[in-house]
Amino acid sequence: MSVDAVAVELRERSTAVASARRTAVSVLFGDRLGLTVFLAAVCLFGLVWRTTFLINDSVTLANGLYSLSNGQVALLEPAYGGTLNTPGVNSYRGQEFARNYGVIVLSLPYLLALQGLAAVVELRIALVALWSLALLALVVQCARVVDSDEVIVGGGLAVLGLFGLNVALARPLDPTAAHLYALQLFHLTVAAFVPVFCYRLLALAETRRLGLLAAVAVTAGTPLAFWASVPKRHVVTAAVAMGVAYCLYRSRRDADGPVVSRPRTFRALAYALVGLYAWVHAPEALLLCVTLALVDVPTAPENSPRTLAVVGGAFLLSLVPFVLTNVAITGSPVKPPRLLSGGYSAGGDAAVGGGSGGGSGGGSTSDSVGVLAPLQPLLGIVESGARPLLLLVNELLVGFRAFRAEPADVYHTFVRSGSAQSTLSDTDAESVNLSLLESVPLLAAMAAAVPALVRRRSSLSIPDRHLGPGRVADLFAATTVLGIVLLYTSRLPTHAQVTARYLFPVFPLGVYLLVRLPPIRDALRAHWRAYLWAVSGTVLVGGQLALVAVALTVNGIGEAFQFHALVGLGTALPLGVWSLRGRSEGTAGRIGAALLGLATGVTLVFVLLTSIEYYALGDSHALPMMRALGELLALY
Amino acid sequence: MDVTRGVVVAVTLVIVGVTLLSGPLVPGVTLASEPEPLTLETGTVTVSDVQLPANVTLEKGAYGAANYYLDVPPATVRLSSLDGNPTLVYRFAIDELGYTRTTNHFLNDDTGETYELTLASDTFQAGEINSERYDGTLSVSKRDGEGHAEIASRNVTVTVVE
Repeated sequence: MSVDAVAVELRERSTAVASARRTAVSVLFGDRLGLTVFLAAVCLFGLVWRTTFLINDSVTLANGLYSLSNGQVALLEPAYGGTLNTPGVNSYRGQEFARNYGVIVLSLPYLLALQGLAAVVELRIALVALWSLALLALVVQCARVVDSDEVIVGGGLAVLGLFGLNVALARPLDPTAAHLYALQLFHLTVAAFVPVFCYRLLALAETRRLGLLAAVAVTAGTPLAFWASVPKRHVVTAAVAMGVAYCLYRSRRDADGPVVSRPRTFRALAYALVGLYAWVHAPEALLLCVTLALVDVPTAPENSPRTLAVVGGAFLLSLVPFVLTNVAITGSPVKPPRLLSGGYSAGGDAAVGGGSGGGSGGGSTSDSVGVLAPLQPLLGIVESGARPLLLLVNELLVGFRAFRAEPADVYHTFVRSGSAQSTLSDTDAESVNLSLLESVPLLAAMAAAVPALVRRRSSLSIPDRHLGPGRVADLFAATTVLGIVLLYTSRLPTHAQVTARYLFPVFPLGVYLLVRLPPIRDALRAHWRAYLWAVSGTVLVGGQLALVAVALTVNGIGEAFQFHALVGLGTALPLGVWSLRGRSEGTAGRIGAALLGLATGVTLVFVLLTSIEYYALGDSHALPMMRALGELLALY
Repeated sequence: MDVTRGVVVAVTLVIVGVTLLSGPLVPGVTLASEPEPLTLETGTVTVSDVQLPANVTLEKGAYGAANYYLDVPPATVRLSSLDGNPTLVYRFAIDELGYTRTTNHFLNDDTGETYELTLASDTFQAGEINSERYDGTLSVSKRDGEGHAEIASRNVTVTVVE
């Protein structure tokens, strides 16, 4: 082969690689900005990642992954936590099983990668290197976006400096706990898709700039970073819900992406995401499935048998891993290791505030689902299909009634936690479980829905059954928010919520809905600089003020949390008032953008201080520089 | 463009290279090491003066937090001599509540002539507090090569602040 031929082949190959890379970026992140959002989120989540357990529900998953990586579905031995008696473990036929098998299986590649790394390098340095490379990639993408060589040179040197600092401070990381790190990294990756979907959806429905601002709002203005590295389903649910909303949007307009050529495919993808999520947490998947079908089918441009066959086929196919896991563990295709009989304790993790009776214990397979389903052909299938639906409807009704029956609990869940007994930690009775609004004051801007709806009503025409893509996504987001709220209200408040974590999917869906509301959208569109300045100012200046205030006035973790709670409510109140007025012209818009930025920054300050100080978890930060910062700070 | 590409490649190479150094591929290089364990309660310390606080409060949680937070101000000690790694122990007890809290302070060469001994904070649930005042005892003791010895102690009144 001549030199020229080699050169030509190399060039062709590199063009093929470049085009494959472009396709991959386009499919996963939409565009360069989407990739930038992803990298920025990963870097932030890496900063607050602590390589230990926050709640013992995660121990169940770690033991599950440990067993699975040793070739066993059933739990082998308590490699973590010293006992198999951890929340979510169920026993079937004399063997113990974990839960959320979807995330356990999908974390296997991460485990293999980590074990491979640990074989050749020190795991701590490897994690530092991965984080530094992600930061370098972020620098490169930012530099391309703003088209500046200086950013690459300056940013590259800064990355090198941070890498050096981390290596200098590094202590070894125990490679035998790689199952936990693998789970954490998997959740962290999934969590980073929450802002990506937020960006992609709003970039299409509004503008790329609004998409970017929404990505900032959801990453900084919600406790996403706090939960990103916690092996719990919450960030996964959030990512799936946002992904479904995105797919629904794309299913209502002409396909223009590189891979998918039919909008119908996106419809199928939406259902497939939900089906796959059943593998992680069946009760929430059922809720998502019902809301999706309720929103999608009546508003679809066409429901031809062929389309329904494609959509239904994709859904059934996506349920295969779920069904196989169920058969392997419980012996029934529709009975997951942890969908509970009787009271349908959807939340699982010991959050059996409602009427779960006693079905949550292992082995109580007295319900007909387990017995009938595989054997009695049609009747069994119909009954086992209908039963979870009836349970879901019942749960939603219970949630609805809770608003009237337990107004105090609802108040403590959504508005103010304070010293209410039901919100206290069950280990040390500290006030460390914040309400929804205290955790995410940004959601106060939902009040803008009132003026928006009032204005719309005055100019309402007969609605077209075929809604536009944006309206369909809005409807899905709003219905899902309602569904999640109803599903969990009767169980809340309960312990170990920290930031109303059961309601977590409400946060990104809420941020999406906010940005779609005309007053918020217009304020952000006209005053996006004011918004970003307010976010940075709150984090950089307000963060230091908070630090001083906590150091001077706070004596313990409960007081610290309640300090942040009051700061949150203090920003939620003016934001709510502004939103209720619904004016976004001129100065009013600027004030609104600043208030939105303030509310966003306040949550990030809380999340950062929580990760560095309040829940430093023995200063177990993955990054040595964050550990050193945690050791340096002693606020109370 | 070439300069920037060079920077990116160089930074990547350094990161990957240093990471490879850390593993068994390159024996003899240790990049991440545990801090050396301190040999505690060694050497000697002489305390020339101790100032124990006069007021201890049990204050209802600020910012609407549940519980009562115990606030024991730090004790100030003046050291006339110090070598090795002796330990100073700050202790507080409320006998009536069956409560004791000690915080150990590990001294080393960097410790200055005056040193503030702090006490980790604790909380009491509202049900545990049914009096307006409690009698408490504060003490400072040392543990060094010469053994354990109490240096100072003081009875204080714990005031409950609503």
